[in-house]
Amino acid sequence: MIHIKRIELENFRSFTSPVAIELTQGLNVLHGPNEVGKTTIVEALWHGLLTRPDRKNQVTESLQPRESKAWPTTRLDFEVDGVDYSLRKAFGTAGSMRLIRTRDGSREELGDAAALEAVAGLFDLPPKFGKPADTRDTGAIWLSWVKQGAAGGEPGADITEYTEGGIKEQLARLSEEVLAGADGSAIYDSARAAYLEFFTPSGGERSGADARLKMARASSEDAAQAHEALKQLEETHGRLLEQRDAADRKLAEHRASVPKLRATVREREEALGELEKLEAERKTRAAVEQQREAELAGLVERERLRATLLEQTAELERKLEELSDQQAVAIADLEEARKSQGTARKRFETEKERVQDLERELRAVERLVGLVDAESNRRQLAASLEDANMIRSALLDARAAAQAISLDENTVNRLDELTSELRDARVRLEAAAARVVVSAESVVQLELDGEAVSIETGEPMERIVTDSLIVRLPGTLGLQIQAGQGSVADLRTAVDAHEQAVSVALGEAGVESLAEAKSQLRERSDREGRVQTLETRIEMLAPGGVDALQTKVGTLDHELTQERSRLEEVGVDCAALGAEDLLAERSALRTRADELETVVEGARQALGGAEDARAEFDAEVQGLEVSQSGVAAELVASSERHEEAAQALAKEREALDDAELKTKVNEAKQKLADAAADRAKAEESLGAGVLEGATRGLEDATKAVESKQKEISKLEQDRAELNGRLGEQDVEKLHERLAVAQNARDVAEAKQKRAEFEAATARLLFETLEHRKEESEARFLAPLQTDVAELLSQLWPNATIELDSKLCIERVVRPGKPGLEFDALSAGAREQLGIIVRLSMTRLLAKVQPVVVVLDDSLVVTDDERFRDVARVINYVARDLQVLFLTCHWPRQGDLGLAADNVVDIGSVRALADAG
Amino acid sequence: MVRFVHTADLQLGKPFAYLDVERAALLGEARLQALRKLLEKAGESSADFVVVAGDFYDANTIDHAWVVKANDLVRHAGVPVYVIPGNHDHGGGESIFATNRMRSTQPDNLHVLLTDEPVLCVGERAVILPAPLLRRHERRDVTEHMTSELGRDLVPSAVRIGLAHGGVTEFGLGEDAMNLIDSGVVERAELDYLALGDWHGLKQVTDRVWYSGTPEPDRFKDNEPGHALIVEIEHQGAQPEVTPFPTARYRWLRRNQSFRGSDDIADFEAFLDGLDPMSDCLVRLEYDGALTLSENQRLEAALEQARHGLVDLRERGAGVVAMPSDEELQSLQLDGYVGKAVGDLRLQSKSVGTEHESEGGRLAAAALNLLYRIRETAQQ
Repeated sequence: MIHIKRIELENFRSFTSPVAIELTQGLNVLHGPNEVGKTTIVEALWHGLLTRPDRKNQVTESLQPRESKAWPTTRLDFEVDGVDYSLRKAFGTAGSMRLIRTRDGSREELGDAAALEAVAGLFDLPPKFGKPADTRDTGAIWLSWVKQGAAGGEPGADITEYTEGGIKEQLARLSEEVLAGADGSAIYDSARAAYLEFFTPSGGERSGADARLKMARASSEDAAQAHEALKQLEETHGRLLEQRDAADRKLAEHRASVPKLRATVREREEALGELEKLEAERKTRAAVEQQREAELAGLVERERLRATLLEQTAELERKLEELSDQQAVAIADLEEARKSQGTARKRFETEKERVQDLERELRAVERLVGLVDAESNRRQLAASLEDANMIRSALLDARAAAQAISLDENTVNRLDELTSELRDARVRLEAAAARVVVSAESVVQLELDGEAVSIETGEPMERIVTDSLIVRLPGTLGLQIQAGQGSVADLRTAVDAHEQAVSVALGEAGVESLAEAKSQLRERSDREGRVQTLETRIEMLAPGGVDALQTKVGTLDHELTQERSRLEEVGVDCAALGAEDLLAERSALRTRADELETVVEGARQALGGAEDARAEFDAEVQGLEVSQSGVAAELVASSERHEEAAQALAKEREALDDAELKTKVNEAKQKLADAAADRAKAEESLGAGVLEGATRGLEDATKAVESKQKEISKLEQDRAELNGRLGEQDVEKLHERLAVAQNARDVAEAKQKRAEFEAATARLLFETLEHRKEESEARFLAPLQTDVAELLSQLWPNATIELDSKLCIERVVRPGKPGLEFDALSAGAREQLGIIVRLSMTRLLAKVQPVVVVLDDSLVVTDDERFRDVARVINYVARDLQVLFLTCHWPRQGDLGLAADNVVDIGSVRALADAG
Repeated sequence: MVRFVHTADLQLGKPFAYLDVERAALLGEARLQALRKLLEKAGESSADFVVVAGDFYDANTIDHAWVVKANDLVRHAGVPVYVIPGNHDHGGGESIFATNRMRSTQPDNLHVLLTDEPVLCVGERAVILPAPLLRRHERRDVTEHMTSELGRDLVPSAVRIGLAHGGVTEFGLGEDAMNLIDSGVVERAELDYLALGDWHGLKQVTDRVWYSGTPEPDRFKDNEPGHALIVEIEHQGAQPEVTPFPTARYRWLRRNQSFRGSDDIADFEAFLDGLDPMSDCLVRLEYDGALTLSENQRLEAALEQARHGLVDLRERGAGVVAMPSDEELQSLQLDGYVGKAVGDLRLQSKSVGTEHESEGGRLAAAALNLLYRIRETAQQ
């Protein structure tokens, strides 16, 4: 345990005047603004303890004040394990050091060399001690100094750098672990480097362009591929050659077989030629046979013709006889028929005349009847004419009477309208006027409008007053009754106008009143009705008019006269026309006519019978004539045919008589038989189907040649293609290339195997080392981790940290949460963790060595709340160790819980010193 | 008496691409020199002719420079050379023998037999019945056309020599194998000798059936490659007298070794010392084992010497696991977690060098080795 009690310095950098600072155990706060010299105080402590003063070098010169270049002096008073020391140094070429040791009251003063040795012994400094110290070594074994801004992740480096071993030695001592041991780290690093030649840090195979394994594999693969490609080429080439040889052999075979096939074709062609000759012979024979057949047929036909002619002649002779007989009978029949025909004709003529007479008589009677009817008609018409003339006279009268009344319906209607309007005007006037009723209870004499009027009881007098009425009871009473002024006057004017109009209309109509006008109108209508009646009667009597009737009667008269004269001309007695009773006359004439009709009918029937008989005989005669002429014609025709046949036969026999013909037929039959035999013989020598068979055989042989030639041409094509493919292949020195490729492949594969073995070797070595190293480090770091956890619990309860072998903080581990990588933490958290780990390291060191903790402006980015936490940790550490806490944030940090045992205001110290 | 040289499988133009260009060129050139050597031997021994039983060229696609060079050698040798195509240079489409280059440079004494027509040679004393391969893989027996009558009409008394390329049925390659030859053809076709190619080692199948093998080895196979044969046949029906003669320059050696300690390393060093000269050798070393770091350094030095001195050191097998010994690790003075990790790895690498060695154990050992190197580098 060390306790720095007092620091004195003079001419030390910015402190030219002598300065003394008292320090206590526990937490010493040295505060002041920036550049006031806080760090210089600690540097004075460092060099005052560790730097040899009697040297002039970079270090000692750096301690001189810039202005004066005077040499600094320091004095440190401290206590270690109950022994007091006072170490005084004067730096410079003539520098010296002195150590005063007071133990159990005895004081001992040691000079330079002894002092140096004593200090080294006191702090167990390594051989390096004595060389110029470097404040970049921010931690001595006994002075844990967290520099300004140096609170990062490698607390161990700062602490252990100056003296090799340091905290690690202490950790090794505590954990009884030696880690890599002597030079082990270098072996580990080399093994790792060897490993990394093949693998990535995460254990994968390296894949960069220079990765050996990859390159070896790639080369090996390339070589194998190149070799396989050549093997393939060799194989393909060999195969192609064999194929071409095979094609050549086949081609030769095929070519050799072609002449044989061609010979077969020729042989078959020749054989076929022979057969065709036989066939021609057969055809000739057949033609002869056919000719013979035709000749025979001609003769036979001739025989048949001759027989037919004979037959025909005989037949026609028979027929001629028959026809002659028929003709005789027909002539006799015709004579007879013609006689009967004459008789019938005569009878018919007689009957005809009689009928004509009767009909003439009948027509005369009927004309007479018509004449009587016409006369009767004429008489009726004459009567009607007379009536019509009478009525016509009446009609003229009636018309005159009707026309006498000039009033027409329009006029009356007008009159009616005017009257009606007048009435309406009056009604309107009365409605507007006053109605005055004067009644008397006793007889009274009145003056009404100056007219005296007497009114009896029970006889009231009524007046309509349209204007005014003055009722006067002379001597007693005067009463004026006034009607409603203007309107009544207008109404009265209107009434007057209407009355005027009515009066004018009546005058124009020539009547007194409307009633008279209406009566006259009715009268006129009646008269016109009578005219119509008469006109109707005349129309009935004389349609078309009386004059037309007159004309008609005249015409009829004329016609009658003419008819009568015509009848009389033909001897008809027209006396009947004169008869009074024409009806009776007509009836008698009718009866006569009916009788005549009956007679005529009978005569007509008789005539019909006679006509039928005559027609019958006519038809019979005609038929017989036709029949007779037919027989005659047939007779002529048959005679001609008979003549022809007889001539033809004669001509035939003249050319060749029957006996000769017979002989010729027999000869022809024999010739035909001979020809048939010849043909059969030719057919036999040819044989059935032989020719077709031979033709097919030739075709087959020809096809075989063609097919062979096709195969040859196909093979030639194949061969050309194979040659083409062979030509495309680069086989020059192929076997040499193959051998080279095979060797390259072997070499590459061997190289790959070697590389793989080397890689496996490097991996095994590294992994074995790594495994053991991890194991070792875990044990090695355990004491530190335990202490860190104790301090860290102020900030993060139950948290631990993981450190690597260089004592770098790797991560923070909290229960139930994912680990936090150190680099990922905030600057504040990194700062706090860094300080805590350093404090722990210092605590471990302090167990074996004197250690002072210096924290130089070290919590710069920590927030107030966190500062409180860290302050608790510092307070806790300061219970066992002396802590120098340099800050420019005092007293604020005191307020945040930093419990200072001693507070030094460096500003005041400097001011005091400067003041002298 | 007919005397001829029987060779096959020169595979001129073989690329040896697994080697760098210079070394590949050496091996390529050596094959041409083998041809030269056997042609010279034919001249020295007054051989009537040379037969090449297929695979004269490595492929039909080789650099035509090889054709020009080979034709030139044959021309200058003067001896008639009868060649049939094998599976590598088969006579099918685009055969190397059908190229313009071949036609324009082919010497008169080089006879490429591309059909199975019998060919008379050496003044009608011998008839060659060729069975050229016209494709890489032939399912049928290419000698099946050979009968006792074949070629008999040319000169009935001529010595009958069959020339074919493929595996004989005696190899028991199974029915699916390609280019199979029934050696019974010798009796069937009354052959005096059947000269075969395809098998790269020297091999006598019967009295009359021989593989000459390749005259210059081209692979790590202990089957006596690097010879050609001189064949002498007195007359038709006589037993052939066959005499191999060496033609090879390079030796292709195989070595299997397990390295468990210094003695094994010493053995290997002695082996290398015994190679005379190293520059004519190729070694295929199949090795495994576990060594301490210092032992491994010694082995590495020997291997480096071999890698530079040999035409090729073909390293195969799991290889040696170099692991710091307990002393070596203790010398590092490791404590702390590094010390614990070393303990872990040591435990894991326990199986290394035992029969239970696991991949994980090898890895752990390698990891210790890496750590050791890291530490050493740091200390330096």
